[in-house]
Order: sequence, then structure tokens, then C-alpha cells
Amino acid sequence: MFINPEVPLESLPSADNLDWHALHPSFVRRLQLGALIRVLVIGAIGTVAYLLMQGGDSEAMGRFADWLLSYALIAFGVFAASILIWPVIAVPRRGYVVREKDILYKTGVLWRSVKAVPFNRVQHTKIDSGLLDRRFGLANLSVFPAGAGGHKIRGLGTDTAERLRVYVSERIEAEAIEPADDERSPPPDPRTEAGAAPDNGPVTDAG
Amino acid sequence: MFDSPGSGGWRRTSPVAMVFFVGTTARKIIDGYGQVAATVGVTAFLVRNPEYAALVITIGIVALLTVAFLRYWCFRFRIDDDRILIREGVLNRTALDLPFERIQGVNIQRRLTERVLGLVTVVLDTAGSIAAEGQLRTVKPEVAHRLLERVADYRERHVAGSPSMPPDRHPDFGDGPTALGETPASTANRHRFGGSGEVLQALTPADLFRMGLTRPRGLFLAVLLAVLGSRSDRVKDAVTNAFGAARDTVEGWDPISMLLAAVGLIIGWVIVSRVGGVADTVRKHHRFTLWREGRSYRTRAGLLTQNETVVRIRKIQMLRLYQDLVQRWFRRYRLETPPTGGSLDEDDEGSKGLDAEVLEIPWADDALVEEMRSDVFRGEGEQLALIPTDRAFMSVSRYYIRAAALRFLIVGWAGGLLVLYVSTYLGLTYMEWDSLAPEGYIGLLRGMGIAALVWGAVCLVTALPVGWQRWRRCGYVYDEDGLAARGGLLGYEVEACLFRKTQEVAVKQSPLQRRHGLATLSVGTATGPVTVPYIDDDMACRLRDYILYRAESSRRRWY
Repeated sequence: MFINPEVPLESLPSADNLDWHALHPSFVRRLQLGALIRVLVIGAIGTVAYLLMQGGDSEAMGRFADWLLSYALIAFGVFAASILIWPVIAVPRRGYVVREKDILYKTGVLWRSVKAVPFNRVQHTKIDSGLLDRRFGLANLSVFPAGAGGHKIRGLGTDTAERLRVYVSERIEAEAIEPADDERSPPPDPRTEAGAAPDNGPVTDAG
Repeated sequence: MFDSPGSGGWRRTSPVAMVFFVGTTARKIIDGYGQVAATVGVTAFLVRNPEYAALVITIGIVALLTVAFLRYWCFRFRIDDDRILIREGVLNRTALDLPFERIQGVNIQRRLTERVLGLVTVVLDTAGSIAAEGQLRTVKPEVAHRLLERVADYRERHVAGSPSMPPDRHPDFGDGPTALGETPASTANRHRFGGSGEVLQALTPADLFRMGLTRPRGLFLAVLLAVLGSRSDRVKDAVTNAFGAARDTVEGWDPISMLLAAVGLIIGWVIVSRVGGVADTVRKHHRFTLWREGRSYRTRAGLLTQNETVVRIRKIQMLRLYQDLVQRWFRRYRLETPPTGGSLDEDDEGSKGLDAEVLEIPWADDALVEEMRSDVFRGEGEQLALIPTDRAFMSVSRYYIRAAALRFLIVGWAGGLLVLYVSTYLGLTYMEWDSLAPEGYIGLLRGMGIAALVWGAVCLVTALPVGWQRWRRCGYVYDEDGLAARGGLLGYEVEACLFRKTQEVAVKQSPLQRRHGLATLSVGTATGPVTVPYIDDDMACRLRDYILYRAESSRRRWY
């Protein structure tokens, strides 16, 4: 007989008050180095543009460049300071949790976000590691559900990223849906399929 | 818990692979810049050596015909009992093996030339890829018929309870319209294969005219012409002369006459743009017909290129409904039912493919919207509302007014500045930059600064009413199976999805939301998110946990 008892919301595992895993300690320095390179490149481009405006035939353009210089320097200084300091503030506020049935990732300093991707929706995973990442022994793990954005967890240790990837792949296999294709089959019985609430405790040795 | 694969067992390919990588990189460069460089080079050569024009054009035509012949010759396909095989490519051979199990849509397109020649193009959408994978260009309708028949046979044999596209329900490849009010039986008689699909909607010319009024066309064209025109001296002269003549004409006019002339110009522009909208609508939706065939929807429309789209209802991830002011007047909606993977045109490897088809019903009434809602959700989400004026929608927090007003202020101001910059640039291009005095640049910058301040003041005054209106439009409703969110400014947008089709869930908080215990809930589906802003933080978290529970405990396919 088909039964469909109500599931008390209080019994559902909460994604609040989780023990978030921090990113790799070197990630701050890696972001700062990247920011420094960007600052140098933008500074070089600005310098060349200023010299070209000064060295051109147009007197008006030269005076315009002089007028613009002080404002540009202030804006550039603020920009450089902010992108060099920002990683120190932002990285400690990022974190991830791997649970039995999903993976959560939190980001943001001012605008904060906690996103969860169930393993039974993950299509594939990817690890990538740029030149600077490798210099600091870091890698980035991407988890792709269909169509949606998924996670890109940056700043993991190389070994952690690989172990996470393997674990997520295993969970994808374990959670693979093998249903009857019949759309008209009744909804699942929560008691028989996942208990009154799915067992979704955090996996504590993810780090 | 996590098993590292270790460093052993990894192997490199042959060093010859370097040749392949060089070739790949070179091809990317050629793809990106080579074609432009070749076009510019050939044009420059012809300008300098016009005596070779005939030879170059002849060589070009012969090359095109040769490539076309080789591509035609190398393209082969075979329809088996359980799959379609496609082999193509002249230098780089591609072998596509597409099992019917993965095909989620068989769409038929008929461009003008194909209609003249009695041919069709078959586009195959698949569940596993973001873009449409296979395409059979200019095949006989019988081939499309055979493919549809095989796919339907396969589904009947292998998929229990999925009676979509039965073999006796196939599209009419002729041009015969299906008139509004026809019974399914009479419609079936007009189908070549005796199909008995139920006609849910067939648009009349009057519908197309009304639809066209909601789709103004012309602004984009005007901006494009202005940008292109600024590159041509002849166009610049003509425009300058026209402006000069207009200025001479209105110089002696009194303010009221000038005001009337301005109003007349605006009305004329509105009329022209709406006429353009009607023409564009007729081009796109001529003889639009929507059928339900088993557990699939099929639409067909188009004046020149005729598009036929088939979407299996099970594949639909969410329903999107739009209603602008004119549509509100007629109590009509535009309903989209994007299938799996219909929202992206690039896969994660960066390779572009054909866009997967999105089923669009451009002029749905209340009854059709409700019918499709219950059809798609089928026993689930009974409490979800899709009609925007439904009283089931709950309001979000009033703090949303402040956020919406602030966003309008920033975006509106920045957008205005962009328009100001572009129009100034275009104006100066017509005036010639050199005509500016030495102090002209600084003066111009100051003038633009003052204009930016004035526009900022206008945005400031209008931001609050806009925020309030957005709050009025914003709403949400949920039940144990799904969620629907409403938004919009003058019109409405409603999106609804089932929890078991969720791909990801996010709870987001801005500083303002944190201060007041609010949050934004975003439920990601395979075709885009359904977002509810400014609800109670606690409720957002509980909903997130419940949605995760539903997605993680569901054993039914989401696609």
C-alpha cells in the first residue's frame, strides 16, 4: 500500500552550524601575488598611455593627460591597495563541507552565499591548477551539476583537491539514479528511502 | 575517507602528440584571426589590383563549390533500430553514434529554400549534452518520418509508460495550416500521417497582429545604423546635411510648434517600431500551432524558415511566464518551457554547439497556461500558481523596496552614463574631433559631468517608486513539491519548478539582508534558477534544507 506520511521539517538535517573546512593557508598569498601582477600590468599600461598622450602632436591632449594624471593616480592607488588587501579579508570567510549526500561551499564578505549541490545531481568534476596555483601547491575543484553553476572551490591543497574529487566521483556513482522511468510512479516514501530525514551528517575527515 | 589515486600508473602519450597540439593551437589562431586577415588581405589585394577581380572571384566560387561537394559527399547517416549513426568531415572525420535513448527532442526546420525544394532539416536534441548534437540537413521528409517512427518504436519497446511520439503521430510537412477551433479529428485529417495529436493552440492573423504590438523593433536597428554610419564619410555628410536642414526648418518655429513636432516624431517612431514588431512576429510565428502528442509538446511556426520543435514533457525543468503591459491588456502570456540543457550554448569544454530548442508559446491565455502547468507538473505542485495575479503569491519583505531602489539608482545611472558616452562619441564622430578647441576636451568632460549629475538626480527621484513597484510585483508561493517566484517592473515574470528537479540550492545575504534577518533563496535547475529575494532568513534556510531533502531522496529521474 502506498503511504506518504508528512516529514517534520524539524527532523531535516540543517545546513547551519556546520563545521566548515578552511581553504589552504597559502591561498591568501597566491591571490596577493596574482593581484600584484595585475597591478603591475595595469600600471605599465597606464604609464605607456600617459607617455603616448604627452608625446603626441596634440597640445590639448597633453594638457588633458596632465589634468587626468592626479585623479588616475589616486584611483589606481585605491584599486591597488584594495585588491592586495582583499584576500586577507575574503579567504577566511570561504569554506566547504562535504556531507553524505551533498557538498556545500560558502563565499562572500559583504554579499554572502551558502550553496549546496546534491551528489545525485553532479554530472562531472574537474580539477585545474594554474601556474601560480602550482607555485603554492594549490588546485581548484569544480563540481558541475546540469546547467546550473555548481561549485568552483579555489585554493585547495593539491592532495586535498584530488581526494575530494575521488570522493565526489564515488558519491556520484553511489547516488546514481536507477529509477523506473515511469513518470506516473508515486513519489517516494520518505520512510523507506531516506528515513524520516536523509542521513546527511557532515563528513568530518574531508580536510 | 578520500582515497588518493597516488602517482603511479599515469602515462604520457607519444611525443608525436606535440604535432597535434601545434596543429590545434594553429587552428585556433586561424579560426580566431586568420579568416578576418584573409578577408582583409583579399579585399586589399583586389582594391590595388582590380584586374584580378574576376579571377579571384572565380577561384573563390570554385573553392566554395568544391568544399560544399566534399562535405556533401563525406556526410553519411544511417538510421538503425536503436540509434542513428552520422559520419561527416572532409579532413577531420567525425563519427557520431547517437542512441535513441539519449534523444530528447527531434526538431524539424524548414528554411525557405528547403520549403521550395520540399526538404527538411532534422535537429536532434540529446539529454546528455547542453547543445543539440546531431543535424541532418536538407533530407526528404520521408527520412524525418522514418527517424521519428524508429524513435517512437524504440520508446514504446523500452520505456514503460512513455507513449510520446507514437508512430501514427507525425508532423505534417506540408504548409497546410491548422485553423483555430478545429477538432483534433479534423486536424488529424490534414496531417500526412494521420496524426491525432491534440491541437492546444493555433494562432490567427489577428493574434499575430496583437502580438506584434508587444514587440517593438527598431531601436536596435537605429543604433546599429548610427554606429555603422559613423564609419562612412558619405553617411556622415548626409546626416550632417539632414540635421542642418532640420535646424534651418525649425529655427523660426515657436515652442509649441516644436513641441508638437517632437511629439509627432515620437509617435511616428512608435508606429514604425510597432509595424516592425508586427512584421517580425509574422516572420517568426506565422501559422503557429501547438500540439500535445502523447507526453510531448510540438510547435510549428515560421513564414520563411519554418521551425518545428518537439519537447518531451518529462524533460521540462521549469516553466517561465512573461507578461508585458500590452499582453496584460489582452490577458495573454508568453510561456517558455525550456528542456534540459536549453539555457546554455557552450559546454564546459568551451566548444560551441547548436542551440538546444526551447519550446515557446508566445500568446497563451489563462486556460492554456493552467492546462500546461498541470500537464507539466502532473500531480505535483498542485498549489503552485503560475498566473501572476493569483492570490496565492505571498509578498517578500518591504526591505526589498530599498534594495530595488538602490539597484535601479546604480544601474540606471550607470546605464544612462553609457548612453551619454556613446551618443557623445557618435555626435563628435559626426562633428569631427578636430573641430574642438584646445580646451574643448576638458570642457566636454565637465559638460558630461554635469549631465551625469542631472541624470543621477532624475534616477534618485524615480528610484523609490521603481523600488516600490518591484516590491509589489515580487512574490512567491511554494508547496511540498515546488516553488514559484514572481517578479517584474511594469509587466510580470513568473518562474516555477519542482523541488525534485533541483540541481543546487543557495542562500545568499547582502549586508542589508543580514541586518534585518533576511535572505535570498535561489533554487538552481538545469535551465536556470528560480530566485526568491528578501524572505526571512530562517525560512530560507528551512526551505533550502527541505529542497535538498527532496532532491536527495527522490529516486525519480529529473531529466
